[in-house]
Amino acid sequence: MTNCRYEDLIDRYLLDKLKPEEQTDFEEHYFICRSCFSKMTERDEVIQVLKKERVLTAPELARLTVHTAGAPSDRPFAFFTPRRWAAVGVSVAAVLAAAWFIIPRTGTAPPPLVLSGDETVRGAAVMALAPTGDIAEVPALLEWQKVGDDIEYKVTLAGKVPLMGASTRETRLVLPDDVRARMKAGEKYFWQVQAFKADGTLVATSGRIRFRVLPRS
Amino acid sequence: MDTDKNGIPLDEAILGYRDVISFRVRRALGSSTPDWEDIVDEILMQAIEKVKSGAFRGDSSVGTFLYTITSRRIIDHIRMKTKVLRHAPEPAPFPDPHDEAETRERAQHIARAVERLKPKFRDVLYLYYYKELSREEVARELNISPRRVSERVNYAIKLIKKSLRA
Repeated sequence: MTNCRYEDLIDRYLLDKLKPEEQTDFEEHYFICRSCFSKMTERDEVIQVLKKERVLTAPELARLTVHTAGAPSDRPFAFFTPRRWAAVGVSVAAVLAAAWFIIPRTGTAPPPLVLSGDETVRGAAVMALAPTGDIAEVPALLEWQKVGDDIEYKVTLAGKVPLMGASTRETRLVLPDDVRARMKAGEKYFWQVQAFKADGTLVATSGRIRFRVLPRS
Repeated sequence: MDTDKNGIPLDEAILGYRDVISFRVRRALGSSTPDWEDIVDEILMQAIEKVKSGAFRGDSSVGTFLYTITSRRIIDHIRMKTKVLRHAPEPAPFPDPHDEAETRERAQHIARAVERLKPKFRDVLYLYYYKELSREEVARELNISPRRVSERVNYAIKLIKKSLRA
């Protein structure tokens, strides 16, 4: 089996150890090299588990004292053992507690948040009504609750592939026949609504609403 | 519709890159970014539109073409984010219980496979991936050659992969 010369970069890429130019080069490469991409995703999945699940912090590994013999460490916090970290934590807490009592809390109030014209506030929600969850038939339309006056809603619908994107000022969107024809029983789909003011500012968005057309029994 | 070098229609070939584009977008923006899937959809739609409009003339490979669109879209997204108020809450991602359960189960499977490895393989994974030491540092730590470190890492991954297939 021929190994790609970029394979050596996979681990360093996943551990964020590549130089910026190496990273760009490798990212472009895995768009054209299925072999490297496949190996990278395999390793990434394992690394994610090793990092999150802590499966390797088993007691027998405590015998491994990590150090770089004789050489100055290139890991900036290698000096800190758990006990030293605890001492640092206690010291910082003590300083913060002292500051809390010493610093007078009579400062001027912070200025109110004001939006400029080209800023976008996100976080308000569009309440999606239907379809959601398991449904018996391919839906004829998508419906959501009104957010306000003079609002344009941008709606996207996708399954494994994007199905449609459309804009409307109504609070419902009738699905075109060709889109409905592409939707199959048993498949999962999702849709999302974003509400925009007349000047194009995004004012609210729905969650990603998922639904599945149940197979006919 | 034009085809790629393997004779596959270009729009089909583009949709086949969903996993690669998803990986790149998630890595750049983080999986917790609620709209990363939308961005992937937008990239795919944009690429298909460019093919239909004749903007993609086949001078580069489909992969390179998609890499360029993906990179530009990521930069645009990050620029757009700078306009978002720092403390404004993001819409929460909509969890899919099926996907979450599947991912969790697979992660547990990997964890069990790692636990079943011999200590010499677990040690090398711990130092190399968990502690993020270099190959040479791991070699010093375990008193083996750097080449042996690579061999053990590769073999451990192979065993985990084999266990997932079983």
